[in-house]
Amino acid sequence: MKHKDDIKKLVERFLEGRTTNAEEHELYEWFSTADVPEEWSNLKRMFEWYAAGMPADSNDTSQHKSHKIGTRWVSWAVGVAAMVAIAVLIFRDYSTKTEIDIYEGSFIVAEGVRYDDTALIEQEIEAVLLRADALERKADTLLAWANL
Amino acid sequence: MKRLLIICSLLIAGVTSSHAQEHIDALLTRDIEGNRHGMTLRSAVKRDPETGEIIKRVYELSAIDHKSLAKEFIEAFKRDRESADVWDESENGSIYNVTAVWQNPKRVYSLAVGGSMVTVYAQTIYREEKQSK
Repeated sequence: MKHKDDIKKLVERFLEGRTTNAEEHELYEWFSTADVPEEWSNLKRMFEWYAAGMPADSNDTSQHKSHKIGTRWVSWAVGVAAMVAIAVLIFRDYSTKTEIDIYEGSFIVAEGVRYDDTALIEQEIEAVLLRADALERKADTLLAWANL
Repeated sequence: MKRLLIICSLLIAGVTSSHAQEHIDALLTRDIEGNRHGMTLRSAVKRDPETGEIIKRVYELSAIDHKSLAKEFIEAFKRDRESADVWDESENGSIYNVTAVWQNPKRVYSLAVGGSMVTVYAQTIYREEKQSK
């Protein structure tokens, strides 16, 4: 059984249209059998729908075959578009949440009060790092002079 | 066996480096925990945006009207001087500057004292940053 992160990558490739048939079937199988997380319920519905051969609305009882085909095609297209849009939104949100905070662990203590919300102190942290860079360049020069 | 030797070397290097700046680090730790009036401590961590691994950590302590603190840091720098790979000391007018460098991992410490103002930098560079093209 593949790990959730592998499945996520596979879904991203699927949404970009870069998966092979075998990989698509792997996704269908995973979403139909695995313990799918709640936030992926829309993806589960989408892949189950694909796995079932993308059935049209089961209540469609039209007697006119050509109209029926047209209706199926439209509902299929609308369904796919909606599912893809939902999947893209889910993954955009997911990737934003898992983005690495490059300043995580930074903090400021001023007058005895500690601030560690990196979004709020980002500018100050960047200023400290700039000053530190200048100091590091000086250190490199000193090391070069000392042949170290 | 080779792996054991590497681990031992790393442990020895870690222990050695953790004692190399012990007097300065002790003062910094004291001032992080007991930050006082007129004192600001900034701790900046920079991580690799892809892996989250720490690239460098910087402590910047600035204090005004703490003449005794200036003396304490000057003393601590002097006591840790012997273990430094590079030591640079200068006096420019009323400002006294020290830069000390240790290697593996690279640590750059600096002290500037002028009048009643003290600024201390202590940075550890765990690895070089990837240069953006």
